[in-house]
Amino acid sequence: MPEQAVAGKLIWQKNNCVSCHTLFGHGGYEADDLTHITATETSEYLINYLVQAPVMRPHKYARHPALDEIDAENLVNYLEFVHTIPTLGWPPQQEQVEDDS
Amino acid sequence: MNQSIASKQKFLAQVISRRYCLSAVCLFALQSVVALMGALDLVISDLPSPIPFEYGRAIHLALADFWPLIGTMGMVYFFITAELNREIHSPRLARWQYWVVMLFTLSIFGTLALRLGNGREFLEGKPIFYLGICLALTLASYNLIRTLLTDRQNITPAAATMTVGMIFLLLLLLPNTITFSNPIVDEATKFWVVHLWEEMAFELTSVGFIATFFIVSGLANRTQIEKWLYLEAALAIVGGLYGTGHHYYWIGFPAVWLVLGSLVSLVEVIPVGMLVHMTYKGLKSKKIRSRREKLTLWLLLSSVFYHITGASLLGLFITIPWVNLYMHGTYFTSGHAHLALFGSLGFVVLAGCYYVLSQGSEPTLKEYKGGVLAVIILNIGLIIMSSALLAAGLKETYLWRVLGMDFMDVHLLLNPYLIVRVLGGTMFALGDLLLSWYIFKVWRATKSHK
Repeated sequence: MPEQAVAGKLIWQKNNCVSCHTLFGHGGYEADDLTHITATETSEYLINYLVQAPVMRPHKYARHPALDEIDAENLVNYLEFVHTIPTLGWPPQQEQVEDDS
Repeated sequence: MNQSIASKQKFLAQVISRRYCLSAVCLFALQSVVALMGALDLVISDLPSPIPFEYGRAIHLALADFWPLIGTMGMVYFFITAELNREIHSPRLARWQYWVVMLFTLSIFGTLALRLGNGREFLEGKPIFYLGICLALTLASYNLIRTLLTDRQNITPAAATMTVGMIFLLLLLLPNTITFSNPIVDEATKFWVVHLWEEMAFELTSVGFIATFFIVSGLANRTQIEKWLYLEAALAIVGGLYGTGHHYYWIGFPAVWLVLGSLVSLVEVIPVGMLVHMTYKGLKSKKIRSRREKLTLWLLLSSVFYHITGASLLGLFITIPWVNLYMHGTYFTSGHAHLALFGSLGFVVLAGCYYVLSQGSEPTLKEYKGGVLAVIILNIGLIIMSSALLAAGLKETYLWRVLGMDFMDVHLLLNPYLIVRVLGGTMFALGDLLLSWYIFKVWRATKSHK
């Protein structure tokens, strides 16, 4: 596991991200699952999101917790590593759902 | 509590067990209030709170781990002396153990309130505090083993099973004091507490209470209960261990766990089915007259009900890999977790704690009715709350996982269900506070009997 990803895992834990988000479907149900987020969003977008934290829907004022640039880069590295872990087809993708039905 | 039927606790361990049980009930009261605040936070935008949602949820989950643990420690000391009819090896050690477990448990809650944690679900506190809990579990295991070895000829199956359960609690928590870099190892180890504490260790520690209660109340004789106990212990270990596999489906483990996890989970239903059969037969042939025993039975039957429905049947349904593929990580899992964790484990620990704290007293008719009312309100609250979560989970599964809608768009549509969850949670909290107050009064009334 790359050093930056190891550091990113500690950032994930330090900020208690698991209370709202899930990884592998485990965690809080209030925010999106991030297991394969790096497949759909670019690193730049994710780092920018974490550094310049936006207001979270449906709140009007409460913002997503913000990180400094290094922590944000490490965290995104960790999420990139998580994405490489084979999850046996979970979560189901659209094509898979159509195949199943 | 004015009709005293027994003036003194027989053993020092039984006196000491009362402080564990009372603390467990107080923490249970705190849990429903914390949980209700968290549920409100999800339906009221920008709700001001000194503790942010992510740490409030962590405290809620830590409470879910530790009030049953503390209650179990008390129950095991109480019922092991009842089983063996002798004092534990060291009452002094049991007193120290109480302060150790309370110190580290409260440290977890306190530091989480200060936003200091380790961010692993259900084990969000700093690892050092879990090491402290391990110390308390080591003291308990040592004390119980020495107690059994004092008179090797007279070890009963229930006493041995409770001791094994306590040792498992320690062995399963210990690896979780280590920080793993690899997320697969981290997730896998976490479920040794999240799954195996409940499905294996607590099953074993609860048998002492169930055995004693069934024998004393006349619901079953010793031969019947010991037959059940052997099977329960064997299946809890085999089913619990391999059943952990249903948490390993999508975390990077090989596909063989899909088969193991789903098939072995079937085994976990058998001992509960047998307990239901034994209780049914017992209730048909014997009418329980003691109000104290009847109130304990209300709590115990609540546990059995959720063990069958919320934990076993619903649990089995979502362990089917094709179902799990879609429902995993939705509110459906949360509904199941509430029914399984509080429903089956919480109620049995409450039943045991009430039984321990009410030793030497018999409630008046009014007090008994108050206790039953609290149990009914708790049950209705839990059913409303969990049903709302299950319904939200079904909708979420369909819109998010099947139709592929955006997560947040779906989440906003779940608000009505989350409001119903708050209503159920309010009812649950009312039942919780009423029952806790009732048990507190029992504790106060029986204090002088020590």
